[in-house]
Amino acid sequence: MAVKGKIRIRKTTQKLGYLDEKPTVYRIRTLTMPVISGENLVQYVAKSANVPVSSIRAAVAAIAQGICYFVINGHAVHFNNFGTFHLKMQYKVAQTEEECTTKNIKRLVPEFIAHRALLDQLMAISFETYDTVSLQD
Amino acid sequence: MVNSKAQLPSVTGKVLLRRSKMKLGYLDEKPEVWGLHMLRGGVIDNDDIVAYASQAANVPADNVNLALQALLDAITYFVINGHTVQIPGLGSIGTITNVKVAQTLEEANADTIRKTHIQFYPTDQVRELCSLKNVSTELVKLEVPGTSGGGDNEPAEPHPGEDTGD
Repeated sequence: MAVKGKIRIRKTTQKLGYLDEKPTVYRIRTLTMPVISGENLVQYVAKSANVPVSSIRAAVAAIAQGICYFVINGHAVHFNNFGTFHLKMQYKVAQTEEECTTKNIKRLVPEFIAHRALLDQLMAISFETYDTVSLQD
Repeated sequence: MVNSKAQLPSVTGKVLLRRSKMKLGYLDEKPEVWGLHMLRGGVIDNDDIVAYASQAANVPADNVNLALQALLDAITYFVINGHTVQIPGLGSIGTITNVKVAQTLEEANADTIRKTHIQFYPTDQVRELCSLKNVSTELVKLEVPGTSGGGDNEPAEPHPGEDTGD
């Protein structure tokens, strides 16, 4: 079920310090909403799924464990209408085939790519101006 | 008994890599270089994760399935309402908004928002787990007729974020 999101924004001023004149400009900032902690998430999920909290806690931990396990073994973990977790590799290119070895790998990082459905919901977010901040030098 | 300890697997990973030739199309000379590409294993979907989690946590698969659906719905709901959600054992997911600056207060409105996208921040433990210290890499040679070690998904240009070398 597609739910329409709403993000509150506020106007604020900013000095562009990297320019010589250091002009003051105006910009929008999103209001920092409370972080939903792991425990809050588990309680919310337990309530909405009507499943005992202990089972949800165990299931969430096991799901995270499963994602990590599959990702570090080169798989992409895809959740319908949500996104995909996978391992991203950063490496240095080589001029010849012989120089192209595993030593060229700089790092491996886990990455999340949002699904189109989730991105569409992001596009449909409405923004509500919360408050206007007066100019302060 | 339900296994509720949110512990990361103390296992090492292994990824297979292949070499392939590619052209750096964004440069004028379009030089040919050699790059590394990860050989992806099969895509793991909802059912695979549910089966794995059900076995690991000793929770019935139906409950895990319900939990997964509710979890994804909850994360989606909170994220599109501007919250950052911490997923235990994995990381945080939140939104980032790119905006354009305006010269006057009246011009600074929702129209200056260029894009809103989702950002995933893995925990330090997950970063450590996915790092080169824990994941071994092996280069394999793929014999593909008509190409020099390339595959079906061989890109012509390097992925964004990857170093192009000196």
